[in-house]
Amino acid sequence: MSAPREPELTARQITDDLTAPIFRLPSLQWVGGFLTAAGLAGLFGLAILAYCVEGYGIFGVDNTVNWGNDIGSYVFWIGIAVAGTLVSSVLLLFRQRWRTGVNRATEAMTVFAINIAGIYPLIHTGRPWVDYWLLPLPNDLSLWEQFKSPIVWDVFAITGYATTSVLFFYLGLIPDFAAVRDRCPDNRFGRLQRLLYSALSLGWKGTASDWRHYERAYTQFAWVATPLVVGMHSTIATLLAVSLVPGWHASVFPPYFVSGAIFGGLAMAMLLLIPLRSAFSLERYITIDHLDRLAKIMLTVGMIVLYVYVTEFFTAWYSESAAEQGQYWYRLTGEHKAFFWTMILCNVVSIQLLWFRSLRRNLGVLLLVAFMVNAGMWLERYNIVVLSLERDHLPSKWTAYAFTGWDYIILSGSFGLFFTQFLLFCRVAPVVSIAEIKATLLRRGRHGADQEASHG
Amino acid sequence: MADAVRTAGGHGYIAGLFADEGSFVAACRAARAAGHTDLQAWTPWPVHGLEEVLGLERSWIGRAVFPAILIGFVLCTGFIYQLTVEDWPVVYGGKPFAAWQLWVVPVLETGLLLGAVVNLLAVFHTCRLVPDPFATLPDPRLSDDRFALALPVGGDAAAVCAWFAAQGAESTLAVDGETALARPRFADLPGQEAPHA
Repeated sequence: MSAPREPELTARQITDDLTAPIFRLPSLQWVGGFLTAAGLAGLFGLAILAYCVEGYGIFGVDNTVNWGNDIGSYVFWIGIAVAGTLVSSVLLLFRQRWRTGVNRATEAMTVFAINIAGIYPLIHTGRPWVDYWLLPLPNDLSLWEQFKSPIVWDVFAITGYATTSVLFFYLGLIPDFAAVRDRCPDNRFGRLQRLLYSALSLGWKGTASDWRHYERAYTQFAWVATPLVVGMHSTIATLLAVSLVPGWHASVFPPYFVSGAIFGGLAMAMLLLIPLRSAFSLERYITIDHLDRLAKIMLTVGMIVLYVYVTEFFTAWYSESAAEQGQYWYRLTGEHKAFFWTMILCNVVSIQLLWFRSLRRNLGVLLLVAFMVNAGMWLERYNIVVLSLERDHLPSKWTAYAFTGWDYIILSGSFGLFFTQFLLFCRVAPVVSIAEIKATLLRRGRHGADQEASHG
Repeated sequence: MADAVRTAGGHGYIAGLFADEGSFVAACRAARAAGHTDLQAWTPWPVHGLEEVLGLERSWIGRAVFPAILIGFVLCTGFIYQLTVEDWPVVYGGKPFAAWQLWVVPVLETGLLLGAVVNLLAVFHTCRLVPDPFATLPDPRLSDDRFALALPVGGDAAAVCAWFAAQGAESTLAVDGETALARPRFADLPGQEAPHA
């Protein structure tokens, strides 16, 4: 006996489903999650406060490993930010209509990850009160940034990418804010909400002419964001690659970083989407098919990452450079070899499960793999940043880096800050693009399954 | 009916409200075929192909963004040249002062950022998007599941209403013609079911 078929979705039903979390009281699960995340975010603030009072010495860095947790975590969060835009813009440019189920959440993920990423280098300068020196501003000393340095390139890359991501995210939200505006209940709180969403939707009317310009602008944002995001993460990779530190000095770094970022970011997207669809009853919008496709992309980029791991080791061996060979041997067998082998377990072994369709469609397996890949990608950045510095060209400088309590606090706090923002976002904006998903689902309803098949 | 339209709308536009996208697009096509050029349409989501049906030109925003990107490239190149060659030349790794290859990243990023900002400002300008806490559509369903097409009355409102009914419109509304393109003000025509129900 076949399962009863679900009733066809209507536009009204879609709006109701996607705006419901905004108008109803939060669930206990949400409150519990939010309080936990906000508590951790508070610790993040506490760590920054302690750093401002005590100085950079509260963290584990020293003269040898002068880039520690902060830069490793910075690259991790940037990687998360990269995947969101890539899912949203690249899939848009490839006309993959299924993206409409996941693009809003991944764009939000981008915005929240990049603001955390941006905090780390500002801390890392050691004197955050003069961080504005990073910008080319006229000053009394007549000093300017050195534009031949990749550090300055990074400032431009992050600033440009962060700004564009926020604009892209907001542009996508405007028609949905208008839909929320027009559904606010007629009570005191509802009128307050209407005022807020009216302002946020900027008087959106949805005329045919508006949509014509809007869609053009939205696609153009995708065209602009795609080179920007690839360029940004390539710039960060170049920052390491142009140095002479063994383990960093490799021309493969830019594509390595970009593929790694997509890999880790997709894992984070799954980590967010799977609980989200259950918590807000969005199973009809974020379907198993969406997760299956994300898992396929994750497997593909994961295999690219594996290829780069092999290439790194081959290049070190083939280079006949004792320092390079020593660095990679140190990763395999040194004091912190557990980090390397855990990374391999998480990033290489775990994703092999995704070759099997039944496992790709099993939410428990997906969650486990996504969690492991996130852990693995953080360890990958730790291995690149810390282990390379621990064993550079000068054996007399060699040291062993270790986290202090504040490193643990600021790291866990960054996750708290990320989830705090995401949980708040789920309560104030539709987590799936209402206008886009209507255009996709209702068109599919009109033209049948053939249309869906042709659009992937 | 015509008097009612003049009273309610003031400037003689009537909008038909459609529950079905197919009927709405067919009505737009029929209105164009009937020679109407002064049309306005509202949809809750982008209806692909509607711009061709309504005879709207391709959006000009693309033509603004590409020059903005190029201007960003030129401005950033000039800026870096002024700083690193004219104002504060420093020997750095034996490289020439005007080592333009090393400027590619900031130049690219600045150009694309300017393009993105111009893109957003252009869409704000063309769609007249401004923070307006009191902005609202009179029929909330226009951002949910209803489509509207407004036609100029041209003297015989009853004929227009009958035409909309023949096209499958579920109701008709009077629209203030002067603001039809900017801030539509709808009013229910007498003798019809209120669209807000």
